[in-house]
Formats: sequence, structure tokens, C-alpha cells
Amino acid sequence: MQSRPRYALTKVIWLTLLLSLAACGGGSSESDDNSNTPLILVNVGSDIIANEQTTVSLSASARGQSETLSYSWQATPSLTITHPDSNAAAATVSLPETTQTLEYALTLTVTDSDGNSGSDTLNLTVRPVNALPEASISFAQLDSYPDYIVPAGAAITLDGSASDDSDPPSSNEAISQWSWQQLAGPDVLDGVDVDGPILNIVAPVQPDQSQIQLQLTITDQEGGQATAELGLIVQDAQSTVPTVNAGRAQQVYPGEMIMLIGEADSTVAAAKPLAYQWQASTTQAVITDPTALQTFAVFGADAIGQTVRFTLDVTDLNGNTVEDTVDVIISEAPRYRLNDTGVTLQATNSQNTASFVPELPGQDAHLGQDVIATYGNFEKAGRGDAGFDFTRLNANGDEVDSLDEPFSCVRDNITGLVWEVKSDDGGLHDKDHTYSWYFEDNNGGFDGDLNGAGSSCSLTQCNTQAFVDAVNVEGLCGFFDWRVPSHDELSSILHYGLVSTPMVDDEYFPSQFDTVTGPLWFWTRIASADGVNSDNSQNAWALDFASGVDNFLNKSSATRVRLVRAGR
Amino acid sequence: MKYWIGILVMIVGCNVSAQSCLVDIDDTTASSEFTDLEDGTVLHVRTGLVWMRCSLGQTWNGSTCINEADELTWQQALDQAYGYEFADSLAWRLPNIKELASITERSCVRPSINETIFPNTSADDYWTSTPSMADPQRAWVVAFFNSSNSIKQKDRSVFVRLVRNAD
Repeated sequence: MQSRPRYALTKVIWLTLLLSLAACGGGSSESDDNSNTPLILVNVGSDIIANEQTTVSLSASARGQSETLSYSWQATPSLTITHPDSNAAAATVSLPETTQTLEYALTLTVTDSDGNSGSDTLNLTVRPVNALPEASISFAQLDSYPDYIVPAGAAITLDGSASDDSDPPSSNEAISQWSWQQLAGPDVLDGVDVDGPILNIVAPVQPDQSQIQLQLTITDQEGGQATAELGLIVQDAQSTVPTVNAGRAQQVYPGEMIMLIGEADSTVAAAKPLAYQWQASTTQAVITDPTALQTFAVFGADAIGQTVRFTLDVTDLNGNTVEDTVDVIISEAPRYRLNDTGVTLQATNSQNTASFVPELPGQDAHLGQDVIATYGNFEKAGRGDAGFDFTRLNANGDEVDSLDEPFSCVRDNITGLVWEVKSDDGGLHDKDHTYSWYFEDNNGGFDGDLNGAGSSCSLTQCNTQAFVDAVNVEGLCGFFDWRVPSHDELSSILHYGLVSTPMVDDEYFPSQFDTVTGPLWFWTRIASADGVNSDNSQNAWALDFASGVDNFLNKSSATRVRLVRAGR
Repeated sequence: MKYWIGILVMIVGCNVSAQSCLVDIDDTTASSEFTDLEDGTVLHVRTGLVWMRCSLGQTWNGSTCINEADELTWQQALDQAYGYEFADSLAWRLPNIKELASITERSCVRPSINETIFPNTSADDYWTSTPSMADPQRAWVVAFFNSSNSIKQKDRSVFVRLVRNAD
């Protein structure tokens, strides 16, 4: 390592030698030859001052007795020096990025083939360069307001996060400091966080229009600063209008509930309460409570195929009125192939109620045949609770209108299915008879039980197949194609709107099971793919008419059956 | 005996699910019952209902359902369905319990659904629009691991498939 005194000494020696050579230039062969060790004279030139992230070229001259000289650069502290040819001095240095002045010593050592060497050192000063940051403020214009005009009391967000610095020191945030100030207008910064890129303020509520002027000052990592300003005009409280939203477009069928779920507010507390008024573009609509913010409408069949526009007017105490609209398509009624559930009560998150529940829109009671029937828009072939449509049939299969006459079967006018009605006479159809599940095909690999323990009926063997066969021999209601219903078929008559047992319309499926407590299982024809033993289905699906729950029961279980046949 | 168990293994990302089916039970939702409307929905001809092939949160990419299905509370599910626009229709809604049970495939378990029609269906509960009258804290779900129904707390996170009536 060369030291500074040595560097100074080298320079003196070099100068001396240069002078002595000049003195000998006259051709004299005489020389001062008392120097035994030839020196290598090195000159790296003057000190260098340069900007960060630039490249500096190094050059030097050296003179020695040997023709072949070898050059070596060193930096203190360390710097990467690009030195392509060690037989020449030329080299370059890429200066680092810096936010403060850096000092380096660059030393060139020159060595000849005899091991003689000399060196010289220069000071390299690296200066930081800082481009100033650029500040910007963006403001999300409020809907339906002119540029930079805001209503009194409005929540306003100013966003300075697009501010940037073109030369951030790597691995740091470009902006080190954010500071919002207010230059004019009623104070909006009290209690507000003013040290971040985002400024959330509330427009002042004043009797007169006011102007607020805000400034953002940003500081970059190297202390450079910039500012941006934004001015807003705040409306006076009296002219500030409410906000309104008439809800989402939707498509319904005639007789279903149209959700009119409005939202409205005012940023001016003194302008509330707000008044609401719903109107429809057609008089065929019945809006249940047109002055409620959230209500519903029901249309009869005469509105089919229309797109009805509902308009919600919201008026504040200062007389400001705003409106929004929502379009509802009333489609032609579908041909319903499934029965609705029977649920006509609406549910909140914790209770069932006859009141309108707008916060859970589109739930069971809002849509489908049940609500259509409730508002008298469901034309039934027969009668039935809610959206159910049944007709009683007598033993010959003829329709029975009188509620006093006996009946043996019930036709479902929606599904087209005809159902066995249970009796209480100890005969073939007795309500208390139970059967084990037994079928020789479509059974999941296991026929079931011919005569399960606990089954009781009027047949020799109390199983489902035997019962089907017996009823088809009898020809109940004139039909000979009775069978055990599928899961879908049996659940079609379940009435999920009831909590009493059984969950079925008792005008058509009389409540012969009133005294039963606990589950009231009825078999379906469907073997269960769950609960298999050696790949054999041990269970079959049954429905509990006490709870509405389905489950797969062991095929040997003593369980009731209600037969069905298809076709109108 | 003419039974066997069919194992279909579907590899979806790094999840592996296996459906088991019993052949000696008639299909309850044979593929021939459905008409592909070629927009991520199918018409179930027997019921007249049009179903989304994917659960909410998933995306129909033209051949299957990609991405994770959303798990929503009952209220979130109803709110998302209200005014939901998909395949040129605004008529989408949460199915009631009878409608949702109509697409269970009872010859299969885990999942108990026709995976050709409804690919990447979770073998788990799906919400219906039907609240429980007996327990007002709960609403009905259909479990697509074995087709069974039950009532579930409305604040639980459950999958959702939307339905509409055919035009």
C-alpha cells in the first residue's frame, strides 16, 4: 500500500529526472551515472471530480528503463475498475449511485520485468445528483357533479400516490415524506391524517358555497421537494342533493315479487329524513308501499313481455329531489314442471316473517308458484295450498269436487302424477302399514328384504314389490301402473312451508299421522350409492314427512310407502 | 352379480377427486336429459330448468369449470344472485330445495352429480333458496357428496349454483 508521503516523493524524483534528461539533450554522452536502481516514473494526472452513475476514463504516463511495463490500478475504498490491457494504463471506472459525496483514492502501480516499480495516486470525488420529484394529485370526480364541484358533507378522497421521483435510490420508496396542507377555505384537515399519499376529508357543510385549496408537498429520498395543488368548490348545504340508487335490473315472471331495493342518503344531516316515491312506467303494477325506500311490486299476467321501468324519487327537507330508475323484464310464464316448495313466509337471518325482507332478495318466498298463487295470479286446474294444484279422484278415477265425498287418489295438476291416498281401515292402503324395500332390478346390486323384521301389512310378505303388485292387481282408481315414486317424485308433494306433521297439503293427503311423533319415513324407489357393503347397496332413499329430511335407510327397515303413477 | 364400482379419477390442478358410481342403479340425471346451450349453461329438459355448469366463483372456459368456487353465507348467496347477469340473462336465482335436488345423481357419490354436465363440482353442501320453517337460523342445503339434504346455519360458508327457468 502506497502512502501519501511516498507519492509526493515520487513526483519530486520524476521532475528531477526530467530536468536532468533535458540537460543531457545536447548530445553529451556524459551522464550522472551514480544511480544504481533505475526508478519507474508514474503520473496519473490531476484529481477527478465526477457525478454519480457516470463512467470516468483513467490514463497515466509511466517511464522506466525497461520497454515492458505492467500496470495495476487499485481503489480505496474498493471500486470496480475496468482495465482491459495490463500493459497499458488506460482504464475506466463506473461510479456508483449515491445520495452523498464519496471520496476514493485511485493508485496506479507500474512494474517492470526486473521487479522495479513505481506508483502514483489521484483523488476521485463522486458527487450525488438529484432530480427533483414530481407531485401530482388525483381526485375521483363524484358522479353527476361538474368537475371539481362537490356536495356539502361529501366524503372526498385526494390521491397523491401518482407522485414520483425519477431517480430514487434503489430499494427505497421513491417518496420519503408526504405532507398535506390547506391553503384556503374552511378547515377540513382537523383530525385528518395528513402524512400519507391519500387524503380523506369531508367537505364542509356551510350555508354558502365555499372553496377549499389543498397542497401536497412531497420529499424524495435525497431531500428534493415538490408540491401540487388542488382546488374544490363545495356546494352550499341547501343545494346539496341526496344520493339515490334504485337497485339492480332483474327478470321475473308474472306474479313474482319484483324487488324494489332502493338506497338513498344525504351528506347533509339537516336535510334528513328523506322522502321516497316509487313509480312504474305502467299502471298494471301494484307497488306495495310506494313511499318506502325498499318495497316490492307484483304484476299480473297482463304485463307479460314488458320491460317495466321503475323510478325512485328521493326528496330532502330542502326540497332537493333526485331520481334513479331500474328496469325489470316481465317474461312469459314458464311451463312449471316441478312443484314449488310451499314456503310463503320470508326469512331474515334469524326468523321467519310475513313482512317483506329486502335484505335477502330472491329467497324462496319471493319467487315461484307459491308467491304467484298468494297474490292470486296462479290459475289452477284444481285447488291446493300455496302453489300446489291437486284434484281428488274417486275409486273409479273420476274427479271429485266436493270436499265431503270420499276419494282414493289425488292428481297433481302440475307434475301430472297421480298419488295413492292412504286409508285408516286396516285394508290394503292402511296408513300404518310398513314394508321392507325389495326390488329385483335397479337395486344397486342387492334386492333387499322380502319381509323385513317389524314390517306389518295386509299381505303375506310386507315388501315394496309385493305391495306394488297387489295394488296393480286391485287397479286402484282404475290404474294398473302403480309404482314406488322416485326421490324427485316423492319430494314433489313435500310442503316445506309447514312445521306441522306431516309436511303435505292435508286437504289432499289427510293428516292421518297426527299422533305420530318422530320421523315419518316413506320409501323411494332409489337404491343408495352411499353405505355400500362389498359394492352392494344395502340402503335405499326415504323421505321423512315430519322434517322434510331425506336419508338412506337399511332396506330391511319397516317403512311406509305411498305409490304413484305417471301421466295425466 | 352384475354390479361393479366405477371409479373416475379427475385430476384438477393438484387436487385429486374420485367419484364412485354403482352401475346397478339407474342414472337419475343421464347426460341425455340435458341440452348444452353452449354458453356455460345447460337445459335440463325434464324439469325445464337452465343451470349454470359452474359454481359461483368458477369460470366456464368452453370445456370445463376453472378456478376455485366461492363459499358464501346464505345472505351473500342471495345477494349475489339478485340481478346476476350471465349468458344474456338476468333471470338467475338461487334454486329452491326441490330444484337443486333434481340435479343430484343418486347412482354416484363424492360427488353425486353428473360430472360431464357439471364438471369440477365440489362434493359438498350447496345452498338452496328455501329457509327452514322449523329452525329460523337455518336454510336447506343439498350435499353433493351423497345427494342428501339438511338444514345449515345461514352464516356458514357454502357453495352456490344458480338456476333460471327456460325461456
